[in-house]
Amino acid sequence: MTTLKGGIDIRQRRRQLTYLGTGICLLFVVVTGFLYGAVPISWQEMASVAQGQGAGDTERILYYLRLPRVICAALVGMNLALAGCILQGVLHNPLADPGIIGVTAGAGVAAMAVMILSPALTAWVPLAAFLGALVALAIVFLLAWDRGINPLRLILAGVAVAAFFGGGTTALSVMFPDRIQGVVNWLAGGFAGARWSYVWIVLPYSLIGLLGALWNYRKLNALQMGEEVALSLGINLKRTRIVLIILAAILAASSVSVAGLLGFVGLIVPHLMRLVVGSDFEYLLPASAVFGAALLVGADTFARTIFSPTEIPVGIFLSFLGAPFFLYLLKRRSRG
Amino acid sequence: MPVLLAICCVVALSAWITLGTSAALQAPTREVVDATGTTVTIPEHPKRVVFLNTANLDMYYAVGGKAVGKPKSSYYTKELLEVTKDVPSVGTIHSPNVEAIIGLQPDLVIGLNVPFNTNLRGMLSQAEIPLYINDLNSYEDVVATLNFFGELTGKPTVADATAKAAMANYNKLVGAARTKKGPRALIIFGTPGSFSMATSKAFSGNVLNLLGGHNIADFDSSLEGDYVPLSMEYVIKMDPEVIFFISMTPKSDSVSVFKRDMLASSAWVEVSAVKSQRIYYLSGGLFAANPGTRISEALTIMYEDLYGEEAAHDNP
Repeated sequence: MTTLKGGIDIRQRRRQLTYLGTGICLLFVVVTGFLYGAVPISWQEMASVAQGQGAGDTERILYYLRLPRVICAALVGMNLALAGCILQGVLHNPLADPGIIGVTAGAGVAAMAVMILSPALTAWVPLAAFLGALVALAIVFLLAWDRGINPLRLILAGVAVAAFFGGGTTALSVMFPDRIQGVVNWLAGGFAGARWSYVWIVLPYSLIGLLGALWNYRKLNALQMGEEVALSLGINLKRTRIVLIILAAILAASSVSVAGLLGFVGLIVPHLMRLVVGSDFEYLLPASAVFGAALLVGADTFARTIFSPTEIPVGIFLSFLGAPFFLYLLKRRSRG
Repeated sequence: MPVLLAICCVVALSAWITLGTSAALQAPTREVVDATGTTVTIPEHPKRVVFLNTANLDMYYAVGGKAVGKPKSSYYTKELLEVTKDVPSVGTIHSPNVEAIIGLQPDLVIGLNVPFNTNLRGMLSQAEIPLYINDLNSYEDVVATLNFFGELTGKPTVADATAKAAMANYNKLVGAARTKKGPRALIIFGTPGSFSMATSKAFSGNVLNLLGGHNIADFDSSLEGDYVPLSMEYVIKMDPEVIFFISMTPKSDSVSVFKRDMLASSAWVEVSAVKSQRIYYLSGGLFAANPGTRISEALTIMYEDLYGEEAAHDNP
């Protein structure tokens, strides 16, 4: 009895530490995100800008570039991590991420079509990407529908739709090689164009997604135990799955629409957090949300300062560093 | 039986290829070293030339030549499109179709120093078709190319006149630019949200340099490559006085949209060039890559934007 209690205590302790750790992490990267950039800005300058007495260009850099950029990165990181968490739970599949339900590919092809075929409408790219993501999701739903959503069919349909739209993206880049220059940066995923309007695009969905996810953590826990357990707990499988997948899709679609194709965060963050806080969604969801935000803000700051003033899209950086690190963690866990 | 058939096919094919190329082999040839450093044996006056990019095609026509194959591209001028309308296309510069090229039985193929062109050499040499790779980076390259093409078409005097005219315009504008104070300038490729900036290694940046403009992308000497994705913070700090943007769409569509996007963006609106509305359109056909004979036109356009009447009017 004492050992069991001790075990719970250790786990609780660990969760509290994780919350604290990721929280401090987020705070740290947000502050560094403000301080570092192509133009060095000191604490003193930042303080004088906060008091409204800073130099004009410093103020503009902080207020119109870094602040919306940091907020965008944080929201997008949170959304993608939550979407990954939810999808991994609902689909019962550790490889699930926003890419697997086709939303990333749908958003990609729609955004690219606008940028290449009618560059005059570039301002509408976020909307086009969002709609593209929803269209892809609708097709996946139609294909996977079998008296409710069948997780396996959904994954297969998602892979097929992603391949189809991926083909569309490649076709556009092959047919319009001379116009591709402006599009590659977007496809790689990044926050170079982040501005306040982007924050307002993502924020409502982030709030809906965050609240919706936290509201449903019990159902996610039940689904994670398997269909029988969930049914025996009185959960309406059909409805719960649809609601949760739509929630994940909205989170992912809003992120992709402002940040481009950044799929990987949704896959690694939930896994990393599962290693430290365990599989209980009550703790996994908030921990993933905070860590996802911290990871993306940190990675974006790094990606835009390392070769300053050249910016590398954060998506490239995340894939190069994230994938090996992720494999290392998984391998270490399987050994332990 | 199938083996026999296969042997017959091979024999027939090789005979056909030999017959097809034997005519070219009889013509007098010369040896030239192309931009890749390869020694290529080409006919002195080639009769069937295929071009893989429009700039070379344009210059060849300017010195009185004719092509049997042309690239598919959006960079054609009306005039060039008109005179080459019956010439079959061999695919884009990025993916030329080898079958189409060989099918035209050319005695010379001319392309640019890009992988999609240079890696055709192996396949073309199997069909004994020489590939001449021509670099077009600077003004001197254009003049040298015009003279070389003049030798090929047998009209060196036409080539000389065209080259001299281009050089005269160059001397006039570059000379005039020396007497003026060049503004800080920025050349953008992409959209106001996601863009790359041209350095002096890109053709447009090279022209800007010649005309005495101070390209802010060159202020940082660590930058490498033709187009670099630069930070918006850097732009605000360097505060360009003139912004050029290269666009693949016709002028009327893009200028207003681009200006509107910049004026609507809080980050851009305080930049000097945006405040004085000195935002200029550069067409992709003229500025994305060296446009061949039209290099004079490119130089004139940028000169006018930098120092011309219009530029003065836009000043507040």
